[in-house]
Amino acid sequence: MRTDALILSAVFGYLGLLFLVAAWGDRRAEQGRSIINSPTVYALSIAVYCTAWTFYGSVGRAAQFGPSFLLIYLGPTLAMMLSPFIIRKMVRIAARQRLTSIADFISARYGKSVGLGALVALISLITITPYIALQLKAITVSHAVLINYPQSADSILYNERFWMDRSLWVALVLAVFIILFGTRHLDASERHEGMVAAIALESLVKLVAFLAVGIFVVFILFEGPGALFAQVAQTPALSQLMQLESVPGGATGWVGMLLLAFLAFLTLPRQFQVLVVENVDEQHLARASWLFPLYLLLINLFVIPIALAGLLLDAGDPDSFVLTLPLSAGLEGLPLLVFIGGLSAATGMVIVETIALSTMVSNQLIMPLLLRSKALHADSRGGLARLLLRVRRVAIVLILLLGYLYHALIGDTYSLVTIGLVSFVGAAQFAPALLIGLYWRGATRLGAMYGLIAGFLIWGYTLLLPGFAQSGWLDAALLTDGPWGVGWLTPYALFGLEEWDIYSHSLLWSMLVNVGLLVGISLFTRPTPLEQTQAALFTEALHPNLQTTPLQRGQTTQGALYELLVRYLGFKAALRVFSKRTHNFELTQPHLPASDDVIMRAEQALAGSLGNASARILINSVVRGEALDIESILSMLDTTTQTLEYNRQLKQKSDELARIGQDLQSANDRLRELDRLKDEFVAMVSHELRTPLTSIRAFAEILASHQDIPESKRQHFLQVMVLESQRLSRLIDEILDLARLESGRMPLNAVPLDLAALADHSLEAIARLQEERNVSLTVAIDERPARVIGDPDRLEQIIINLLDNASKFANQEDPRVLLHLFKQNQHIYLCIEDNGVGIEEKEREQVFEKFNQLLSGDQTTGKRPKGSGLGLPISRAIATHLGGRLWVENAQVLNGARFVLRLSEAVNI
Amino acid sequence: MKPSNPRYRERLLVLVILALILFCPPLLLVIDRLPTLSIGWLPMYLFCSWALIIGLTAWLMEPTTRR
Repeated sequence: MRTDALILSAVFGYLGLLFLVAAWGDRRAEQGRSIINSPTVYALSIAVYCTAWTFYGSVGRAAQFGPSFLLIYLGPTLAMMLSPFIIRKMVRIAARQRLTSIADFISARYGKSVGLGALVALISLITITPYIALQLKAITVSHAVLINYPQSADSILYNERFWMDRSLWVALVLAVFIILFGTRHLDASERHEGMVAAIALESLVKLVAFLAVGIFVVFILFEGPGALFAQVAQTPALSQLMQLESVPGGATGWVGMLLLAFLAFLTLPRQFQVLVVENVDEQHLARASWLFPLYLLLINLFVIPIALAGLLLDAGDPDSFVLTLPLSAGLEGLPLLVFIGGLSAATGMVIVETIALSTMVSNQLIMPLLLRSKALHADSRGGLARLLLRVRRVAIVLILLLGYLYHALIGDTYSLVTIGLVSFVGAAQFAPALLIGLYWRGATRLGAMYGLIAGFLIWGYTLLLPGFAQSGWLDAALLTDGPWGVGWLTPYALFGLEEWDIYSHSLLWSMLVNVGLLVGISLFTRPTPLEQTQAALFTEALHPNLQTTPLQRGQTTQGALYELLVRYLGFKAALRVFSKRTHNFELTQPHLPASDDVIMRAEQALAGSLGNASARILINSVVRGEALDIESILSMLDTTTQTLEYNRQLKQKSDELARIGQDLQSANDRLRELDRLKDEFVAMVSHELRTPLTSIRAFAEILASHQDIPESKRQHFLQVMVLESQRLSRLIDEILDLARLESGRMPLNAVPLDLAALADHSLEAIARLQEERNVSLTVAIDERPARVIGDPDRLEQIIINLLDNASKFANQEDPRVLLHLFKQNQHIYLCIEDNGVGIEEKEREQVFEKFNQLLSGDQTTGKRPKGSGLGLPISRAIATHLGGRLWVENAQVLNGARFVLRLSEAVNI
Repeated sequence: MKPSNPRYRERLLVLVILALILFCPPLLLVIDRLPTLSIGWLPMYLFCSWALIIGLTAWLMEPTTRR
């Protein structure tokens, strides 16, 4: 059933599906309904990290080196966790400066350097081409396994003519795909929506395929993980495999590989492409920071079981276990699915990597050369745009052919993982220039340049050259004895460092030299003004002020700028730059100066298409005066820092103000309340004064108008008038007393006295009144003499007032009042109880308010209140002034209210 | 991703440090030397701590659940 025709139709059917998806994605983008504007699609597109090397090679690596394969995925997990600090910054810089590749990015950071950009592009080309070759090889090998099983794949692999090699044809189809969907726009900074959609689909396909084969191996081939691991436990050699000792280089190798994967994830050109260039929205990073690691975890979940199962069943080459295990079980469909999964992993990587590399080649290598040639400048309008697209397309085909050649000529000597890791270390050489440049403003172009060159050379010496030696191109003695027999120069053990695994070893030396030169040279070189500007713009990219302030760009006329854009990008692009604001743009006044905004957009448009270094050269050819210099940027940033500080202080002040405002508000409320009380008081006083006055006036008028009133009646009237006058003057006295007490101007004559005697005196004074009211009075004076200090008149006033109140409020039928005087804890207590209705708990403080009983009396009973309502407030004020207290509580003997006056006992009299 | 919570950056950094501690040798050696049943505890440990870290990152990063 596994006929070549079936497999070929599956392969090309799958590639056709990719074309459809990509075309659909591009169509949707043109309609403005992007399908890649989703954090999930973004996370899936990042999964282009998982190439055929993951798909086939992880199992191979696990079978050989135990758990070390996981490090390749733990490193990116860390990098994604740090994305708010690193990748977010890169995304923002790239979007603002319209950067199109990692070469463009590094060149822009170091003063838009043409040389540095070209260097990065060249190194990328050299380190990544083998990686592309690896993907093509994976397709060839997996195809051969599928066709030849159970025979060895090798038996026909090398007997075929190259035009029979499926991977050549796959490469050519991919070239068509990439040209169609990767070079639609000249502006490389514009997103390739269709391509990203296809990549996201491929990520899903490879995940499903791998999970399918994993589930098959664990649950069908072995009846569950328990059964599998039980079998492994009986094979001592296998049970040792998953321990740390299987990891090359042990603990050091472990850390080295983790660091390598972390760095490479950020610097591999295809990762930069999907992470930074194709990022639609910075916010997507939040979801991707955990979704992508989750994807990695899932795709690695079954690697160890598959590797162990393959070793147990002796299923041939570990790199092909995912295919040979289902094949050995006699399945037909699953191997095909696995093959398609591997194909999707390989093609996804090839597509993105080729786009990234072709952009670098055209913008960083070819474009600067074109700009130098005089012929180009005389070219017709927009010609360069077409030329550049053509260059990019040729580059795509050449890169793929180069990859194919590498695969066909020398690819057979390496296992999959080896090529991948060699590329990783090569790409990691960009990390110092990239990461240090992101955070240290002092890093200079020369430092980056020399660091990069030296790191690259050491990479070549410690990883690439030994590879050639192993392939037999060089004398194998190089690996054992070193060049010319110099032992300490042995490529895999420089300076005798032998215990390390070759990748950690190469990473250590190359990074040491790379970082060392970058930092060392930077400390002793002077950056150009443009370099300083760019360094500040990069390191401060997340600074809030940089997003809002337009940067100064120098002066030019609109006409000159327009001409430049038309010449290099064509009419449409020029119109887009100029007509952002005004539709139907016509350049009517070409002699007018161009605004900073337009110059910036023009430079961005040029940078997006030609690379930032070339764009700068072109803009400089028409713009006079230096663009934004470092001083103005720094002062802008400083201003911002100051502004932020002012903002902080302002916020503090406004918080304080808000607090004070609240205090004021409550004080105001209190004042209003007091004002209301005062009004009430005045109203009550007026009312109280008017009552007796009215009756006096009424009687006086009667007396005045009626001369013939009988004498007895006249006498009665006069008596009423006298009584009412007394009441009036008493009321006025009380009000004056209260006012004096409250203002503290009441003269109190504090002398030692006997409260018991005073109580007796008061009782005598009020005895007649009590008799009139039929009040039965009980007196219990326990302490005699009860010595206190106070004003005798005032204290007597209190006692009489309390007794008077008690008799007034006692039970109507059987009024009873109790006076009790005792000593307790150095205090003299004088309590007066009645058997009235008592006072509710919540009203106990209110009775001490002025005219309170007036209020309550009016409201509840409607009866005329007894008394002025000032007695208790005055009594309490006097008690307080004498250092005592007056309060009300539940009666203890009788059932009504109990007023307690407490005074300190006077000693030493 | 705009951190609404001022502690967000600190939490994230501490989480990265936690991940480094979990993924790196000193702790790894301890796990590796546990008495083994079948294939050793290392793979199981790595996957579990990996899943834990991913879960915590998701909890920290997703705006709806960020405290």
